[in-house]
Amino acid sequence: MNRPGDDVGGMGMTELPDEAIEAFFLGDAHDAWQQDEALASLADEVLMGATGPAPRPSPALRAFLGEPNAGSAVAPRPLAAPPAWRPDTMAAGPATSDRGTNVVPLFRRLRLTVGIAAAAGVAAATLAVTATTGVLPEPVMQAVSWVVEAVTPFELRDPARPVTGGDVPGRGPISTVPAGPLGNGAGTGQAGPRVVPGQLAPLTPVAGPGAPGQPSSTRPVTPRSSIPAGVPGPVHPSGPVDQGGQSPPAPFVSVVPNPPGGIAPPAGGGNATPSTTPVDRAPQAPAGSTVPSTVAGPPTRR
Amino acid sequence: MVDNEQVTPRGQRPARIGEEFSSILTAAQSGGSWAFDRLYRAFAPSVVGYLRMQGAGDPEDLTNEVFLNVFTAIGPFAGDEGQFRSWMFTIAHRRLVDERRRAGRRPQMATEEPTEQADAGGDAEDEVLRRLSVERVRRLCDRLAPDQRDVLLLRMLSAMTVEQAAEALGKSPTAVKALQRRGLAAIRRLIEREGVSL
Repeated sequence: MNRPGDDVGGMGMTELPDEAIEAFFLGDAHDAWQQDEALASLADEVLMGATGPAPRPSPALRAFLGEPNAGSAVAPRPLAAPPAWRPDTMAAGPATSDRGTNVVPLFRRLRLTVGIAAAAGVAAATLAVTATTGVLPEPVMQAVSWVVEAVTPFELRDPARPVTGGDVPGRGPISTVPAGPLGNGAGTGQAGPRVVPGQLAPLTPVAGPGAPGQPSSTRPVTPRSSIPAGVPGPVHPSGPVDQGGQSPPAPFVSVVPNPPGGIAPPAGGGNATPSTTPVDRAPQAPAGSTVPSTVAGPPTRR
Repeated sequence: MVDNEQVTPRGQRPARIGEEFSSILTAAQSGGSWAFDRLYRAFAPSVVGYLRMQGAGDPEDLTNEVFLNVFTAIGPFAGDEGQFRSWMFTIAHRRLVDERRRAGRRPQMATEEPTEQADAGGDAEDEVLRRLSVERVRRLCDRLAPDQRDVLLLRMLSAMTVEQAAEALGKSPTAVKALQRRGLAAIRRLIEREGVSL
């Protein structure tokens, strides 16, 4: 069975040497093929059909060719386009491509700026948190404290200062607030907020609304039984504060929620100077006592 | 300047750029639109002619696709005009194979629709002669085996060497030589014995 193109007639191209065939394809010896009318006609027709004008380029191709009617097509740049020496006339491309390339650096700059800002914020937050643990050197601590106090409503205690009653050993210098009057029952005039060991005093705003001139902070509390009932006191956001009479000596002082009935003022007319009593000397809270993490402000002085 | 052979007398080779090719290639690799234009006007007629004679469904559209591929990938190209033509026709042939694969059909004798040409004001007589030539070649090539047709048209229009044609078609040089010999013999037989006219 013969396939298309099989030379079944016996008169093949064996008569022609390879050199003649190559000359035909390379077009170097066309005249030699005039002897073979059939093949000469084929060569003529093929070459004639491959002449003429180029077809109309598509919009995408017109962008390459620099024609004005390229529409919105953008010519991709040739791969590995070399050199910078090319004149502007050669490098000129559609305006859309230039406009598009300007957007990329803008986004890159914006992304870089956001990244730097985020990194700075994380670093600042890390430094502030580290400062609360008291592990930073004193100069750094002072600087961080100054910055925190300047830009936030919080206050970082200077580690050089004595630990107030609101500080917890091992928890670092968080606290913060001037100590309020503390009824220690001894009538010594020493007062200050107390925190049960093991409880971390939170950062609290310095200028609390508890009482004029008094920051909200930990509140010394006397036993409920010592609070005279029905004695009115100034209104406190967390509840009325009792300004009642003397409180009996308290076996220990803890930080507890402000009772609804108010709390007693410090015994012995203790003033409201910050307590310098080390926390580790504070009485231990009895087992099972519950201590809230947030406490109300101190009672107002009489 | 492209040789003035756009409308060739019978037997002449398609247009060539010549000595300027190197500088045009360098400019095109730098993105010069004028260089792309020169390359397109010089080589597009050969490419579209090849695709027409191969029976492509839309030879003009396929030619645009070929030149988009060529211009996009022209950056790393290194070679002379002959090698550029070989590379360009290799791309054209592969796009043709892709199109046939997509269409799932053999090349057919589709009636060529009049198309817009980039060069307005072309000679109408030359255009008619060109269309007749394409039609005759297509009718003749349709009688050949596909491999023979590929070898003959590629070698005649792109001036590929045997080795270049073998690489473009994925065949050995020996196979290409055998295909071109048998193809030419078949054409001569068709014309002389079976009365297929050219």
